Amino acid sequence: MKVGVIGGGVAGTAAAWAARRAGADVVMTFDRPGASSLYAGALDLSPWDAAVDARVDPDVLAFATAFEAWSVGTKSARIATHEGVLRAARGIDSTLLDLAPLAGRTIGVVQAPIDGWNARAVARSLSEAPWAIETKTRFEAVRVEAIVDEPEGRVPWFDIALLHDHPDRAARLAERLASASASVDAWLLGGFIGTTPGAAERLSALVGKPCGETTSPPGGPAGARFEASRDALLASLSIGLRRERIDSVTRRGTRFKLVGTSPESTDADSGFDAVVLATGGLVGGGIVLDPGDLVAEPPRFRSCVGADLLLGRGGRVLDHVSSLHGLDLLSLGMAALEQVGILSDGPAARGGTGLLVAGDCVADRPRCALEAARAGIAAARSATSAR
Amino acid sequence: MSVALTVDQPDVDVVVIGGGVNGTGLARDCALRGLKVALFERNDIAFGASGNSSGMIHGGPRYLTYDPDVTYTSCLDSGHIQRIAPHLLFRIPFLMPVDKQPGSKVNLLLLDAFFDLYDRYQPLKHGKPHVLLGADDLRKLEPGLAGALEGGVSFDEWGIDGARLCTSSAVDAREHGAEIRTHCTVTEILRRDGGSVVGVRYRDRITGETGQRTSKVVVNATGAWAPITTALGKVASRAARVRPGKGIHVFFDRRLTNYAIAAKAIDGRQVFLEPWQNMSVIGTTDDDYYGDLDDCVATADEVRYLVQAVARVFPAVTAARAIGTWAGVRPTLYEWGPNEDALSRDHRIVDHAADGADGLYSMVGGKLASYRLFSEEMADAIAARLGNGTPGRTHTTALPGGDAQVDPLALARSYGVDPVVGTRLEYRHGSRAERVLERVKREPTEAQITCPCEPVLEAEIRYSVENEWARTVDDVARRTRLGLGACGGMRCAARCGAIIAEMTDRSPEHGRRLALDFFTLAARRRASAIGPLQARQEALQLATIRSALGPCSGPEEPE
Repeated sequence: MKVGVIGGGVAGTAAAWAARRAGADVVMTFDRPGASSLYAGALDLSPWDAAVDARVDPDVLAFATAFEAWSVGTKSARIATHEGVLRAARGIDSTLLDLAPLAGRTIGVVQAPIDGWNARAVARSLSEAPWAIETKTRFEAVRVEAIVDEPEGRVPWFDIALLHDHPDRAARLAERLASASASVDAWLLGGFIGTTPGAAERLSALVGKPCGETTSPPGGPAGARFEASRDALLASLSIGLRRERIDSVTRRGTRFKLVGTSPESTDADSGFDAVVLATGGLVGGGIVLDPGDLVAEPPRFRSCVGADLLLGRGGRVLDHVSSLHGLDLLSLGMAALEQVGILSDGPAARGGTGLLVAGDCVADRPRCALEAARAGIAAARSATSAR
Repeated sequence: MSVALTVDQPDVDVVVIGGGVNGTGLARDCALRGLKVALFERNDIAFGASGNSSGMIHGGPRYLTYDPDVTYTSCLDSGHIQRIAPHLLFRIPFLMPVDKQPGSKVNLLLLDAFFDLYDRYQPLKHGKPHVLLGADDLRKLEPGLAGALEGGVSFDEWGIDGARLCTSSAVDAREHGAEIRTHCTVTEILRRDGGSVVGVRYRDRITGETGQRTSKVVVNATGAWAPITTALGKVASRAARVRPGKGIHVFFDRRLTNYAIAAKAIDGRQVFLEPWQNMSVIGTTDDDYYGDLDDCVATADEVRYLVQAVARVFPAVTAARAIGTWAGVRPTLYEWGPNEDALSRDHRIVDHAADGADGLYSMVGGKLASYRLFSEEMADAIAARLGNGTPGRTHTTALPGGDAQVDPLALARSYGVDPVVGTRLEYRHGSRAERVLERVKREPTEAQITCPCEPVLEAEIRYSVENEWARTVDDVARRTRLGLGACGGMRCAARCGAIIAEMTDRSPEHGRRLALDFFTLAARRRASAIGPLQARQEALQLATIRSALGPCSGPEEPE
């Protein structure tokens, strides 16, 4: 049994992990970072205003446990977004500060001159959230010399997180936090504690109090921690990895071949019993808005991997439009940009056997990390049980 | 409703309705003459045509053949505007290429002769005379020009940020005693026994607060809204009739060219691609408009019409990253019959005494380049009526910030901010950029760059809320260009909303609501223009808003 997985995000990784667990030979190919590398660090099954304490499938729980950066408990976590909103999440990147066990305590919001981070506004906003009022949880901005000098505050959060990966800088940060205030019970920072899984645990141990981040903005360190965990997981399972862009998937009899862009595509790329497409949505690059050239090709949405697939939204096929000038998003609605994807029957691409889809490349799915993991596992299950 | 009015001692001399270029220009002119003024704007300063124009105070060579007076007054007044607000103006050199085709040699000569005529007006606005160019010259100046070219001409125009112009007029009016209220709609024009006008009632559209101002004169300077406004005083809307002409522009990330390029649309209309501030803009359309003036956005039809026209001479525009559109409605003088382009850009003052409403005037028509003159004519009439003998001096008195030249780089150095920040601040505020930066000196945290695309400092947001009536994120965007870059406000709108909420004593939830309102509005303005690159950005933005701010819909909860 040989399974190919295209895409290195949450869905693809979950599919590879599940297929390997089912005993398949797995080859994973991916090209560039997608939406999973841009995510905020929150793990949701559905958009976060919906049911938050939903039951998590045991396989998804097992995957999350195998994933070093993640933590999924029996109850939802409560986290702060970088814009100062308190929200529930079914699971989290464990570098984020889970406020649920800190209800009723005083949380210090680290105030430092870092672009895009305003501790006073975040603290005020969080203090006025209904949950904080209900549980009498207080948020206070506390001035901490978290960075060395002013220019450092001008760089992206990710780069500051990268600085804090160095043990000396982590120790410096811990020392400043430890001496900053005795009256706070925990520390909340923006997305700049570190880019490797476990960064917050190490910092908390040094400080002696729980420390953690808010969610990350796109390009923040949560994405990097996802990538580090993924690479570690794939290595531990000895899953074949190819950094290559796949142009198309072709079928020969009952077998699939992946046709890549590199000239050395070989037999290693053929003979797959099943292929999981987990290429991402419009953000990740799996779905492409093709402008057409106004002469030979009509404009339309398409999958970045050529295969026999139908794209749409709301269960309906979104064909090319009958205008050489393309789609009119004013009438289609901007929400279409998130919903459009491959139409499928469950994990399988519509009408196909052995060609499976998972994650954001599928139409009308909630664009959430835990849901992507669930979909990846379901696709792998179909792939390994189909024959 | 019975109204107790102390008409003998009205609150103000003049009520101005409308915060566009004419309304703010009139408020300033009257205030400078010592008249007491109150101005009411239903949406925001420069919300309509004034803030959505081509951003040029051009002399209008287009009008030269049938309306030379408009060209003359536009050029003359353009010169005046340069004197009072030098910081707001930037030179836009134009290239007008001529296609090679049978008869094109003659066409080029005719064009050359035509611009000889236009050159006579150029000194009025300190423009350079035109130059006749060969095809090679044109390509040297703009290598992206396509097609077989016979040659062309260059000519000079001036760019301006219309919203900044209106804002600084309003600021000057306030500094001379005027009361300015934005997001404050006039609900009724009050009349004594159905006769002369004695004031207005208003309602604040954000707080719901209502009130009235009595006055000796009420001026309707509401542009395309003019006929709707007169109806609020029970004067037939016919009396201030305009023919609303919608014009749209599409803007692109960064500057695509150094020169503006004139092009012909498929129906023969003149359109253009211009470098404008830190981006490129294509414009414009002119179509009769029947929709809601408060909610006017570009459609995909209009966008494609323009892109197609410009692509013929500058093909790279189709691959460029369109990041938004703006749309406005011209208040052209009413006439049945002619096509939109042939309508006069002249202006007219309507005295509604003829309609039985003594004391009510409407300013109809006009164009950005001659707003000052139009306002002066109106103020002259009011001054004469009220026995005020002070002559108008808006052509010699500098607008706020226009009084002294400031070196933006030295400014940036002395306040320790980024040179680009200094340059953009100096453009928008002239010598008053220092007032914005003084805030940073007092409170260093305000040195944060809140909008990295433009860029905009937190201090400038706070300054615009405190001194320039900004009450929504869109208001701040109009004044500072915050959130108008490729990211569409993804990195700044939430923070901006939080700042406004904090400064206006509202809850953080209100701030988030302001940000979400901006995203919704801005998405509608972008939807008709975006291509593949921007589509991906939009999807990322949707995901980011969802994960950081929460659900994007639902009514605001009462505080």
